[in-house]
Parts: sequence; C-alpha cells; structure tokens
Amino acid sequence: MSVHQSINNSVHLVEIKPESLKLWCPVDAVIAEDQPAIEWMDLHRIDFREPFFNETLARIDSEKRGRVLTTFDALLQFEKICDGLSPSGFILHSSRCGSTLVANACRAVKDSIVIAEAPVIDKLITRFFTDGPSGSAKELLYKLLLRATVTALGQRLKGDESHYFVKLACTSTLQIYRLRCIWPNVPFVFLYRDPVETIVSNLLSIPEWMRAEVNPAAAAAIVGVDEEHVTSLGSEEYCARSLGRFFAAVDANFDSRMKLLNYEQLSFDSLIAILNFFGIDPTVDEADAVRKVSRLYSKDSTSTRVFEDDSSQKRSAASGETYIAAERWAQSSYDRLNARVLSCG
Amino acid sequence: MPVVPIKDVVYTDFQGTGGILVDLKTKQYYQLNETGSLIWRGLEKGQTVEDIAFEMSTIYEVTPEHAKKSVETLLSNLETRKLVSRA
Repeated sequence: MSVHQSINNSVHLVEIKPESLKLWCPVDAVIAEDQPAIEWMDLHRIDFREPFFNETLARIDSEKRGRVLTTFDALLQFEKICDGLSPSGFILHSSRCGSTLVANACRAVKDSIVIAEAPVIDKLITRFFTDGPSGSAKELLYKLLLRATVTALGQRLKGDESHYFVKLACTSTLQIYRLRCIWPNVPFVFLYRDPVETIVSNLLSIPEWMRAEVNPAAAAAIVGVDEEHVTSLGSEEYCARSLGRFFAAVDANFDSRMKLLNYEQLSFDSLIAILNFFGIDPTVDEADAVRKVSRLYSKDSTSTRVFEDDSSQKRSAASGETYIAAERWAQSSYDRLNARVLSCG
Repeated sequence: MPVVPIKDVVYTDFQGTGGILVDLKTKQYYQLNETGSLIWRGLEKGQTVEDIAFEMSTIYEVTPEHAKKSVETLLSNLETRKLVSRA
C-alpha cells in the first residue's frame, strides 16, 4: 500500500499536539515530503489478537480509522505524556522456529498486549544497520525513537491491559546489544532451530528479509558481506550466513536476563517456563489457554489447524547445498547455543 | 539572570548518559553528552547556574569554578542556537 493510499489520499505531514495522539499508535516508518515520517493510526479498543501486527491492521482496515503522518519528533513528544506499559519481555528468534507459538502463549495471558513484528519497530531497528554507527548522534536518536515507539505501542488501548510483550523480526536479533542497552532490565527470550530445517522452511516461502534487492545495504549488514556481493549470494548461503550471525550475536550477549529455547524443546512446559521467566505466573485458565495454543499451528489466525512437527520432513527435503551452507556458516554457532542451554539446565 | 529552556525545545534523556534536544520550530536535532544532559535537566528543574555547577562539581570531582565555566560555555552555545533564553 502506498503512502498516498494509506493516508486518505494525503501525504502531508501534520503538526499535532501529543495529547491528540493518545490511543493512537505508530504503525509504520515511511518517507513523506522527502523526510522520514511516522504513520500513526487510531487504535483505541483494539486488541492484537492475530499472530502478526499487520494482520490486526488488515482486520480493522474496513473500519477506516484515522491515520496521520508526523515527523519523528512527535514520537519523542508523545513518549513524555504516554502512560504505556513497560515491556514484560522481548521475543527474539532466528525465523521459522516457534517464536509465533511463544507470542501466542503470551497472548493467552489475560490482559496482555502482544506486538508481533510491527514494521515500525523493525524498520527503526534496521536504521542501526545502515545509518547509526556506534557512538554517533544518530545511533542515540534511533535508540530514543525506538524506545518511544515501543512505549507508544504499549498503551492500554482497551483500558485494562497489564502485561506487554514485544516480538521482533528475526533480523533485529543482530541488534541485541543495542536493544539490551535500551531495556537493560527486561528479560529476552531467543527461539532458534536447527539451521538445515530453518533454511528449508525459508526456501519454501522466501521472506522479505532474504530478498537482498529490497534493501541491499541492510542485507549486506545482516549477512556480513559487502553490498556489491550480497545480491549474488545463493538463497541457501544467504540464509545460512544470517542464521550463523543471529546465533553468534545471541551467544556474545548471553547473560542471566536471557533465555534460550530450541524448537526441539517447545512444549507446554517450556512455554510456561518462558512466561515465568517474563515474570508471569499463569492462572489455571491461562495455563489451559497456553495448552490449547501449544497444540495448534501458530500462524493460523483461525486457530483450527493442528500443529505437526515437520523436522524430519524438512531434513529429508534439504538439498546438498543446504547441508553444506548450514555446516559452513551456521552449525558451529548453533552448537554453541545448544551447549549454553545444556550448561544452564 | 536565570536561564530557561525555550518552550519549543524538547529534550529526551537516555538513562542519564546523554540525550537529544529537538527544536520543534526548526526540526533541528542536537546531541547532549552526559554533562550536557545534567545541565539541561538542571535548567528544566529551574536550577541556577551556581546550583548546576555545584552538582556537577560533586559528581565529577572538579572544582566549582571549573564546573561553572563548563556550564556557562554550554549555556552560551545553547543561547546562540536559540535553545535557551535569559528570562
């Protein structure tokens, strides 16, 4: 959807009092009038019940809710008057590894807000890759904008929310160091999966983050090669290199405020353990709801499709190139994470 | 004469280690380091130059004279950019 269509046929930035944005949320980071802008949407009374943030926006699209575009400073102004919840936990992941199931388990907690892969958050995080060198003023600005965005999305849109979870896009894992600087006391969980199985899953339906041509500069930073080289990588190598870097970033920043969960360990008990790690002690009803979601396919918003473990199927379907790329670029850092899980019990 | 932040300037702090000033009229952004952040927060609280300099001298173990000079230097800089005014 273009900016022209999404803002009621207007691309004009507006000056708006921060008080007027109460119960409105930042939903996208765009370019308007040749400058970076934030798109806000009136989301009062909305619950984010779908597996992904954009699916919620699609559900309410027909309601023709208000939208406005502001410059970035509106975020900083709004943060000062916003009484949004602080995050109870962040969910990071290496893609196609059960993180949506964890988000759904968080959603099973009464009065929770779960923001899953909101483009506005991950686009701001992407700025760190291309436009926020360490120690620069821009890095500080993006940290502040990111904090303000997360705060704004934690508003009590229905009035009674009490827990707030944020799931990020897999590529944001590479910015874990900065994320931990912004939220030093918030627990983080990292979901990951065998690299061969993950590559097979991503090759079946290639996600945007693997399309280097969409944003070559960011892609190069994600994969760890130069920009000229990144578009010539095969999909297996691109994915394997990315996974290896996700695993290594988590390994390098691991401490007691972080919990690791391998896809192989996903179960009702491990979901409850994650909620406990986030400071939640589920009631009997909430635990029942978690048990229910643990049996379903997590990305089915109708909650009817039953989950089936496809690990062996994925390994059988993997090509020789996939095994070679996984071994070369991701296996050792994957093994290091598994060793950490074993040593932490 | 007390120095006060201009109304259209927003300061956002990052855990006391620095922050960003935005002039809403010009949309210009300015970075403050840790001591600049301490000075700005002092201005927001209505502290005098002497109060801020005293606080700075105790935190950073510098003489009050040295601290006052640092505060005055930053204030002059901010005044040039029309981010503060002498009330």
